[in-house]
Amino acid sequence: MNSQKLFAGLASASMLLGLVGCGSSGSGSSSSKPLIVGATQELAGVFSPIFYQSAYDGWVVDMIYEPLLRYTKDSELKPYLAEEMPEISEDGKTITFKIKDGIKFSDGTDLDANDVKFTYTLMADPSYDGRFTGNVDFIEGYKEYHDGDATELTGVEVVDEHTVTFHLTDTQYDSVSTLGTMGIISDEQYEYKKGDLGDYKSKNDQPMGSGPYVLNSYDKASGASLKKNENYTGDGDYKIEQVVIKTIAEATELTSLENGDINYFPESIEADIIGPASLNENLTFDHYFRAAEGFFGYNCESGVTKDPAVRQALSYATNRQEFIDAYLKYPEASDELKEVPLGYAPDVYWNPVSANLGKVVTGEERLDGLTIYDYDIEKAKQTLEDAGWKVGSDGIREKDGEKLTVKFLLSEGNSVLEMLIPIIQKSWKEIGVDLKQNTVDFNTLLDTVTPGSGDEDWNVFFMATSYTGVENADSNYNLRSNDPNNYSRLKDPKLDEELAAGRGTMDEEASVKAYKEAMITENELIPYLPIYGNELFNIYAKNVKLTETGPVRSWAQALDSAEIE
Amino acid sequence: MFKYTIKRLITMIPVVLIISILIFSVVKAMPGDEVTTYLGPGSRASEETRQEVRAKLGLDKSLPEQYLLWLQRVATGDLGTSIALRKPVGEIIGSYVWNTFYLNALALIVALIFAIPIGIKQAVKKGSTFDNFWTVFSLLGISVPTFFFALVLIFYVALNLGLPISGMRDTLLSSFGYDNVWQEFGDVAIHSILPVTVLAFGSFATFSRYVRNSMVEVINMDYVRTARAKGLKEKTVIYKHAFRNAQIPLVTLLGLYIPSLFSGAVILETVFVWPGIGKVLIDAVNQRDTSLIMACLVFSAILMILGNLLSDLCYSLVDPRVKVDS
Repeated sequence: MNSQKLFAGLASASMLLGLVGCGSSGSGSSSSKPLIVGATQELAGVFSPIFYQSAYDGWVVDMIYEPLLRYTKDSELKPYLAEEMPEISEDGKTITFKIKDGIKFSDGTDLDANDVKFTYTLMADPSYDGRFTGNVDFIEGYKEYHDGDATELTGVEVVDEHTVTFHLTDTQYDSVSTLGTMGIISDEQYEYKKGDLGDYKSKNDQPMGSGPYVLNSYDKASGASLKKNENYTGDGDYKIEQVVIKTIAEATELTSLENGDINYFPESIEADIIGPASLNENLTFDHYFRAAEGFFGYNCESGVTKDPAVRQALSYATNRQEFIDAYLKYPEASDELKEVPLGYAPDVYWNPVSANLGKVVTGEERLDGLTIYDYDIEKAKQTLEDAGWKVGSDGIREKDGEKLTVKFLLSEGNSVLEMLIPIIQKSWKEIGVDLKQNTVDFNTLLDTVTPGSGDEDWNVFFMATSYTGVENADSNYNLRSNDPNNYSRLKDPKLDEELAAGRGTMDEEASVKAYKEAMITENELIPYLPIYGNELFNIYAKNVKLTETGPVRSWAQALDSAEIE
Repeated sequence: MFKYTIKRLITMIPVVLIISILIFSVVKAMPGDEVTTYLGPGSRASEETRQEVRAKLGLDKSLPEQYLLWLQRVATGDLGTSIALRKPVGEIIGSYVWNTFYLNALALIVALIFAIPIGIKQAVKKGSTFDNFWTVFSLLGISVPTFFFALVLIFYVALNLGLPISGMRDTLLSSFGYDNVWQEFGDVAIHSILPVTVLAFGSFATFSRYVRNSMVEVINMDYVRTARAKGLKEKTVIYKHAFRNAQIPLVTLLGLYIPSLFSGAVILETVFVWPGIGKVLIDAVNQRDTSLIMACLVFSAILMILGNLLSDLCYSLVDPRVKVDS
């Protein structure tokens, strides 16, 4: 968990990342029909639970590797490889997992407590450069192992073959889900010496886990195929023998579904695909709340957006509802689809599927004192006026000789921005803002907004982010001072304290209370303006059944519920 | 001719070096950072880790140093490692470039099979309905964008005929094994139909225009009239006497086409998800994958130079007036 992903827009889950009516005539060996999943971006081939980056690679990881705990369709954390939910000490600093008996990796070796320790040791290695450092750096002995000469990660204690205890340096409300949802790697498959992950990395495309499937083939251009793990020891009943992830071109999603090139197209949000699909008699869909949101990030460290009043005014002057109504509208839709809510303007930039605060994001729960940025041009003007930004002769406001010029960093080919920019162009001009656009590719955008990039010549950017769990802790990374993931560069001691308090307790009530305060502080300072959230759709052939998917349980984790008639 | 070829090949070396310096400068001048690609978006790596990675990738050195290191590695046959795919660049190019070559070469052959006879006939029957029809047809071929024609075929033809629209092979068959080589052959063939059609359409247009125009020029020459006067058969006059001379511009064009056999067709590869090198290059550019970009671009620069050389050499074959040794 806490593996937030970023992508350019909502159009593609890029990150931030078939066959011709022959049915199963080809290979002949299997009786059931294969599940052929379409992906509009190539797999990167990093099928490692500790190194993967794209959501698409994540699908393969989820089929091959299994964690101790896993989310259900309803976003509840349940034991998976663990016998039961872990035992947690009062202060939350000692967490003990019992692993089920008889679990084996696909090579037939046992999965035991040593493998769990090995998995975490890899992430604590001095040469580890993946994105999950935040999942290990609160384990006792991390510093000694990562920066010192310790020969082992002492905070992960192998009590016996089936029991592993984590000793933590801090109390962290999300530690159970953080530690529990990591795929377990076999310590026997790799030659590992401290400081050298070379052997492990060179086998990123030869994954081996305890999951229901094993990798059969992978090719960057065309995709990956998986077949059932013959040594599978879990209790899931997997009826699908073969799973293929096939790269398809954008705009051919529906055609690919119709001519049988693929039979499952997951996690779409594009009205142009969903609408027509709902009317197609050969296709069907399901949908659930999307654990993601698109947002503006303001540069709180330099330029005009350093002034909170400017950020507030820009937020008031952004007609999010108008955008949502236009962007998420289906060109055509079945009656069933018309019932599905289009989307919403989130009240605060936060995990919308947070177990205890998600409702604040969606607006179902109103929080006293939370500034809500509903579209209000007058308020926007007033805010600027009060802060000393006066309208100049050319209609552009200025203060102390500085013009109110807002530099917007855009990523190219982003369908969200194509609709959003004209909307704000008009309303921001109305409040006296001179909007300058700079279009770059996604890599450059990400690089520019990453703190320490040295490039501060921007004020606003747009990006989307997705959440893979129901904790609030992502906000700690996005909002606290000096975090590499705090793209807004906001530095506010009060907010830091509130965030730390929200995370640093095992008491839910205290955590929620502190996090609510953090939300109020955040929205006042508005480093990020959430633009929209919406539903996620899986579109598939009518003979496919795959029911147990949810906001934090992708199709790849739910294949025991899959069947093809 | 041998001497001439060697001389040309030697002069190639400084040219390639200069090109590689230019490409390197342009790649490095792009905004964005290889470290971001290496760590992946959303990486929570600290500034220290970023510095470590920077040092590991050799990005902390000055640009001339980085270039020289690259050159040194290339000289020893090591094209470097892709930072996005974490694989040797040579291996990556090797596994994709032949798919591109196959597609382009097949399309070129198909285009020539149609373009030469049609172009000749157009020239012979200049101004006829036949000529006008193919003129309009080839204008369409030149002016209709590749992606548009491809999408038209996908939406209106593929579904009706049950043709595959993406990839080079059936994923299931290729990943779980073909029964025999004929099945594989048929599979690749059926996957080639749409992309080859689109590519060949464009090249057909270009080539048929060239053939027609140069034939029109040649066909009114005195020696053709002489050939006719000798009482030769019209077919012999056209194909043996006239066409031989009309080939010269065609040879230039073909020589220039050689590099594009190994590159080109980025849009097409994207639309049809063809596992080719064009797509690899585009991804590499987007991800600032310097080693991969350098290898792809320098490779196509070398091919471009070789293509020119080849067409110069071919002149001497089709045009007796040209002697390369002199």
